[in-house]
Amino acid sequence: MEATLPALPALPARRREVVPNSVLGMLLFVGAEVMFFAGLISAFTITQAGAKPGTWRLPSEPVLPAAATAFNTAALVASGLLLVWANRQYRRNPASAAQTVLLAWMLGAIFVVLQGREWIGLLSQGLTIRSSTLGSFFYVIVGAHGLHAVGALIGLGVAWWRLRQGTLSPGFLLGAQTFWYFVVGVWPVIYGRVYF
Amino acid sequence: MRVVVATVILVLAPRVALACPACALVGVNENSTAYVSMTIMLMALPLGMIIGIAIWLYRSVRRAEAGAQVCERVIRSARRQRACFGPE
Repeated sequence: MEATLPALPALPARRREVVPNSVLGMLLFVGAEVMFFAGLISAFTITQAGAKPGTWRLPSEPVLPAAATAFNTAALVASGLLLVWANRQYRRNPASAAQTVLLAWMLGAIFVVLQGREWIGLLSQGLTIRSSTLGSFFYVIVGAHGLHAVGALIGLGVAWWRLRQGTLSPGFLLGAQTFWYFVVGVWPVIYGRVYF
Repeated sequence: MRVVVATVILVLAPRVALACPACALVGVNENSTAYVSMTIMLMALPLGMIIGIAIWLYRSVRRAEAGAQVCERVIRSARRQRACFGPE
């Protein structure tokens, strides 16, 4: 009896990519960004502790609108969780993750838009970058986070577009995801420290 | 006289122009806590990140090596079968 066996592949090469270069590069970048935000929050905390009583407040309101921002925070955290789910879907069937990635992107966009709306409200109340130390810190820290969120949204949007076209590489998606997780992860720290 | 004025200025100026404006607040009770906690945070954060990434890389490499060993076993077993049954 003559057996017919398929051609066997060669033994795998000794050197293989364990972690995609895009993820490793993004991790280094995120590490630098974590230290950037840590420096800002550190300066904020020390300045707030040394502020004279009654000076650490808005011109018209006693505190920042923490309750309204809680909704934005929930949207951002939900977006991060959806992206974790999208990653699982992508591993099983790449095409099935497109809708979840889009939903995560939309929640992230809602966060950025609502933050912008909040800024307009605060500006109308007289809180500007020059009005007080609190105003300076608020706009620098929250603004820096907003810029990162916009950058991450662009990356995630490109990932979604490539996913739809069928040209998305796993490395690109992982890189975009890593950055988005950073944006989602650093926000509760900023929210808890700056708004309360 | 000039020497005296210059000496007085040199002695008094450092007190007025502190190198670190925030350091003037050191020693106030609330501030001491903030300084200590933020110093600890800024020291621990990079170390924590480096250790975390190192552990994650180590685990990823070990997982990949375990997967590669399974592949090699499957291929060797198929080669042995092929040697027994002969070529196509």
